Amino acid sequence: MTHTHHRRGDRKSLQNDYVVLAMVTRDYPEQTTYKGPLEERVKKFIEICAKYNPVAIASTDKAGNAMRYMKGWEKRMDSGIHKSATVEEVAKNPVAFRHAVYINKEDVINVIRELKDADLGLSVVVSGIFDEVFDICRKVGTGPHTVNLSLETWGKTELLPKEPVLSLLTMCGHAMISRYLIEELINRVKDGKMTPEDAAVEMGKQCTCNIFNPVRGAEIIRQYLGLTK
Amino acid sequence: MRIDSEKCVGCFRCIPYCPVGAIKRSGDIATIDQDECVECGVCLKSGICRLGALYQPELKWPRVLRSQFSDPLAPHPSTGIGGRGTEEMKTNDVTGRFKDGEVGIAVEMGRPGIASRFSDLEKVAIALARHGVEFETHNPVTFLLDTKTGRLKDPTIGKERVLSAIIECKTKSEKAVEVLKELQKISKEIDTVFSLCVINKCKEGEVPIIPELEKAGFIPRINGKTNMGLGRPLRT
Repeated sequence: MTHTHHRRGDRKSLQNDYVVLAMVTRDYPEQTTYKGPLEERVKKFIEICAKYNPVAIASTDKAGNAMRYMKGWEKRMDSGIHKSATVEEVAKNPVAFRHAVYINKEDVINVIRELKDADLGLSVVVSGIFDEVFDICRKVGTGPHTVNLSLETWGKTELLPKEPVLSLLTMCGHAMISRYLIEELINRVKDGKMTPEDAAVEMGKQCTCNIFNPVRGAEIIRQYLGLTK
Repeated sequence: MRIDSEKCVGCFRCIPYCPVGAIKRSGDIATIDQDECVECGVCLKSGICRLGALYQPELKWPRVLRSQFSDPLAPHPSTGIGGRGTEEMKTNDVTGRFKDGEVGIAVEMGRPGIASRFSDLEKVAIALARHGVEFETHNPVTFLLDTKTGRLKDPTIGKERVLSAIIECKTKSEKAVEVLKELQKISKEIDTVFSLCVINKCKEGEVPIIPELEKAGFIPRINGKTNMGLGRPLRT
């Protein structure tokens, strides 16, 4: 599960892209039972994440349904198994947390600070630019404990799509967003048939883990096509 | 995945949704190249076909591996969890899986979006095994390997194609560069790509392995994943 890893782009673009996730190990039951029922701590975790302007956030409800919020995703855009939810619906009665995506460092600082104070015992991982995330650690007074570095992509790299497709595609680490769909949606925006925001949502919907950053996605499309906001 | 030729009306709207380009035009209808299809289910899940022409038949061994590795919603029977890897460094603050002086290496075959056959994965696993790495026991790829040689236990799965599969292992810090150089060599012999992760425990706010990597010419990206050290009980 390195799916929030290997996100491509330059510093300017990645500065607006943070993914927060939480996990409990299966190997040490002490973490599962730390300070009370896990379900309550998961709920608290999502409440905290939901407070600070996530552009995407997801949980699983008691019936096992994926509850997914993504900025700009309206009900009219639902299709297949991809159903939109509000932030409030995501935070209501979750049994499992998925991820939250942010575009502002200050929001991530607030999330991590509040999580530290809440002492929920969950392992928390932030994907983002290392020096920015390490700065968050310093400001909050925690970690960093361990890092996962990316040494890029090796092998037949000539098979890879060019930018901006690669930056958009790598925002879903499981590669559920087809490069061909990205190209088609960019062309639709170019032809004036779709907004960059709607195109980004259609891409992000395919990412079932809900870690696609729709705001960054729309900005990448806009910049590529030379469009102004 | 299959397309019911009786239901397909040839709108071809499903074609761009396939991450590996396996859906093609065949006369007046769309068909799926079964050799190329990785069974990720993206086309079906997208709901793009309102006529119900896309359908998922039951998959048998070894083809079922395609779905288990390509569809993050499909759990692996070997590990009981979905996704493609493990907790790796995400819970290292509690598990201590990666200790001081150790380096985790994760080779994600086929990522991003290119896909890989298990035959290419085997080439990389053999190269890693030659250097005596410790394969991650919880990883679904490890279940398919003879961890002493890196060879596939069942050679017939070599032709199976997946969107990606992660080989996870660890080694001592002093051996990390040697292993990466081996990966550099083998990367020229595969028919796909891999994305490469290096995991390291921090010390006093620094990443000890970075100077050694940079000295050897391996420059990490500016972004990646950081375990924030909030897990409890904390393993220092």
